[in-house]
Amino acid sequence: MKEAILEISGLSAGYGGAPSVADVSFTLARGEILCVVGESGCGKSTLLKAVLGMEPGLRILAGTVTLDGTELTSLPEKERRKACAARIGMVFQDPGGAFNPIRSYRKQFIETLRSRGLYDPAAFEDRTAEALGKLGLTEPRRVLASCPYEMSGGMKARVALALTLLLGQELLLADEPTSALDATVQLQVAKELRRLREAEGLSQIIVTHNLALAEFLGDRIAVLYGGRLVELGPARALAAAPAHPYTRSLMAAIPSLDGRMPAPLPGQPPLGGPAAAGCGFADRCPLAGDGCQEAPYALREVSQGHFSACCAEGGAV
Amino acid sequence: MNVRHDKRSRNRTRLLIFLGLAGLLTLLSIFAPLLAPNDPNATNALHMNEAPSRAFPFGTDRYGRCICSRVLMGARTSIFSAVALVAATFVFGSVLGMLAGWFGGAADALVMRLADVLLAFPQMVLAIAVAGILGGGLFNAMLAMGVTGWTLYARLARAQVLALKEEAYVSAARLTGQGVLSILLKTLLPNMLGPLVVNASTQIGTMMIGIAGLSFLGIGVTEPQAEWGSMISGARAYLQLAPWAVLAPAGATILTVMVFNYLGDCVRDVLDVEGSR
Amino acid sequence: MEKYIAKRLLHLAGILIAISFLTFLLMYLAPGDAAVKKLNAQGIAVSQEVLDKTRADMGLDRPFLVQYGDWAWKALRGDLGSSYKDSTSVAGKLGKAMGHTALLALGSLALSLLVSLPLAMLTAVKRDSVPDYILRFFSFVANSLPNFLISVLLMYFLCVKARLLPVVADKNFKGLLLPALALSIPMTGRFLRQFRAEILEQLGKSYVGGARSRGVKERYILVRNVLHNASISILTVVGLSVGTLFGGSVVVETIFRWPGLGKLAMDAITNRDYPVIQGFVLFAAVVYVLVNLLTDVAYHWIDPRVRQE
Repeated sequence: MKEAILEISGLSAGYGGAPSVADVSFTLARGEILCVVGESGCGKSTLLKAVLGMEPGLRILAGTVTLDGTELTSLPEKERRKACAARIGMVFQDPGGAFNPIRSYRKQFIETLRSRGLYDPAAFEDRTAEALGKLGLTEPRRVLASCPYEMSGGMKARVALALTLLLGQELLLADEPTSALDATVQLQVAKELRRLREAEGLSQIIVTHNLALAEFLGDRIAVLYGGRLVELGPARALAAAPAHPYTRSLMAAIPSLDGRMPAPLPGQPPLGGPAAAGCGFADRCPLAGDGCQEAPYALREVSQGHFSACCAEGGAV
Repeated sequence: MNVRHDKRSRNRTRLLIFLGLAGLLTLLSIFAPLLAPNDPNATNALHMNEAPSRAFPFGTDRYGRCICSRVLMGARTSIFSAVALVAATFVFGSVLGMLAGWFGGAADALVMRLADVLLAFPQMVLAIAVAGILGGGLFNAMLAMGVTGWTLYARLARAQVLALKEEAYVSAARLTGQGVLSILLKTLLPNMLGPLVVNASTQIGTMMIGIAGLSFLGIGVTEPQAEWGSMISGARAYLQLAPWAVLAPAGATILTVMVFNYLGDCVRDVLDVEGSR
Repeated sequence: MEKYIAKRLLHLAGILIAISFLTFLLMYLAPGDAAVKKLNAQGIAVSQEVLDKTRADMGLDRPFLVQYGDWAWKALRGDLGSSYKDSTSVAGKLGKAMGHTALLALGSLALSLLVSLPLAMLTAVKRDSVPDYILRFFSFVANSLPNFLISVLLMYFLCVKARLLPVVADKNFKGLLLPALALSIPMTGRFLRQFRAEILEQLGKSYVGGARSRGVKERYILVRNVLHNASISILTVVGLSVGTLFGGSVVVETIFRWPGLGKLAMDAITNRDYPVIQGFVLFAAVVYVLVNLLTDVAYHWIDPRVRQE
């Protein structure tokens, strides 16, 4: 069993008292890439923000987040920020949005490094060139002299990732990092992410609604529905044979070039976050049985390392 | 959802309160002749620069006139002239702006260039020059302030018309043969009023201050008409002797301007929150 | 870039011509005969003979555009005519007074900025706290106070009651204090409101959250990023304030007897010295336009995305 870098146990979090995500538990091994998939509103962004703990108004309602042995949830705000910023990097949907659009990258890099006590004027040029090079950016001086507004989406994503490397962060949380990019660029960035794991051992949690990306990039896939983890398992296995009815419907909803038409589910995903009791998917589930409305939430191991929250007959493959 | 609703109702309450206060001040000024304890223009050689007393609640000025009465009459001048001026510039500017936006071309260019040039001058400098040259008096002071005042509404109205001109419902109105005037007034204007009204309400305080300033300098309202700015100016020389002659109109000015300024803010808050611009 | 500068200069020239035209028109349209005014200002009795001669001297019988052209051409070379009152050069008078007003203007501007910028940052960062409410109230009040009112009140409380400062200003720094304060108080109120709003808007932008999540120090975020991005708006406000400073100087300099352009203008109005009024208006407008041009150019330097029309 590889060493865990992040442990999430029974995490419930939300804005203003009502949970947006509930009972989330999983462990991320060092150097592992976990892709969290789900529809809009399922709580995947909230999950990431809860780990980071820096979103105003978002409160942890239950559970713990442990980063490399340090329990983040029990720390006071300032300590938590420090611990997170040192080890965790975050990339948003608009990768350039995290940077001041009209100041040069050089200035922003230096001020970030300075704030973290990592700025060494003598080594800066070389180290930055190296980090940018690892992301396929071969003209470090030009990149550093540019401002984010001048760069394309793909380049902005790479620069953001390069800074993560420079800061020596070991865990990357990415919220839809490729959604705003062109299709070809999406693949490039996904490849960069994989390369970063191979070369640098960067552990990653990638949130995406793009199943193909999740399958390509992730070691494991976690499926979120209505604020709860409904399936968790190895990427290939999960994609080939999904255990939870929701995941199956997700897969079935992808139109394919061989003429298979998408078969959408009736109804809508819940708006109000995780249901208090019973399966939140029961009202739309083709397999829903009598016990589904009241059955308590629990992840059951379906096969080696593959878990599903479905409790219905025929739910487990 | 709930937070937003609370904010809206709070804004509306504030608007009503200050609308009420402004209304109260306006009423006071309307009924000034009845409320004034003495004749505001009656000089009194025996009671010059006297401290406040029963007969003269705010004391008397250098000519022995009752300051309280003059302050009340001054309220009329200040409030009505400011409101009238804002109304006039509002109408004039909005109409020009709408026409410029609708017809475009030379008319548009002319109006906008004119506005640009007028705005190239600092507003008060131009107002002082115009009022000074025209020789003073309330009407000239209002004219002086109005010379640049209309540009605000013109620009706004034009921008709105340009934006709304391409909307589907406008094209529909045109197709059904509605006259230009009718389209402008019935279709476009109601949708444009918001920002225009917001600006108008914030301008009342500015105009009030401007006219008072001009009167203070002697190129606005002239003696013996009661006006707060000119009262302060006249009483300045006797500041040590009779401070109330300055303080009373000063206090009235501050109070009234603050009420109208805050009213402007309230109008902006209410219209901005409710509008989805 | 050259095309852009050329366009701006052309636009500038156009505006300057329009300004000069309007200023001249203003004087031309003034009621009364210019020759009569001049003679009156000098206290010379008006007889038909003297009037005719004065009119001829002043070239008042020429067509309007010729008069304008003549005046404008002279103005371009620095000759703004001569005062009706004492026949000295208007440009000379303006020149002498300019320095004093510049001192006053810069002093009050500096004072306002020094107070309002830090306070704006404070109230934006500590939004809706007690200091925020208090400062917002004060800035609202300050903004509602007319210049002449503050001047008179300052004079009353500081000179008359507390006897801290003399009523008539010395022409040095001590004398500068009251007029600068009078100009500065409403300006500070206005600045505080507008800067606070701009800083709040910047604080809501994604790069602030991004920087925080990277662990960038708050003070770096505030000063190096937020302030930088907010400076366009700040510069705009300051540029526009030059206009209000000119207007305010007329009142404040008159009250405190500060020998600047404002006092010059006010005296000219009292004396019906039209060339001086004209010179003042022209000067104020030109400076105003130039300052706003400078701020426009500066925008591009702060935010390279900004393109001018």
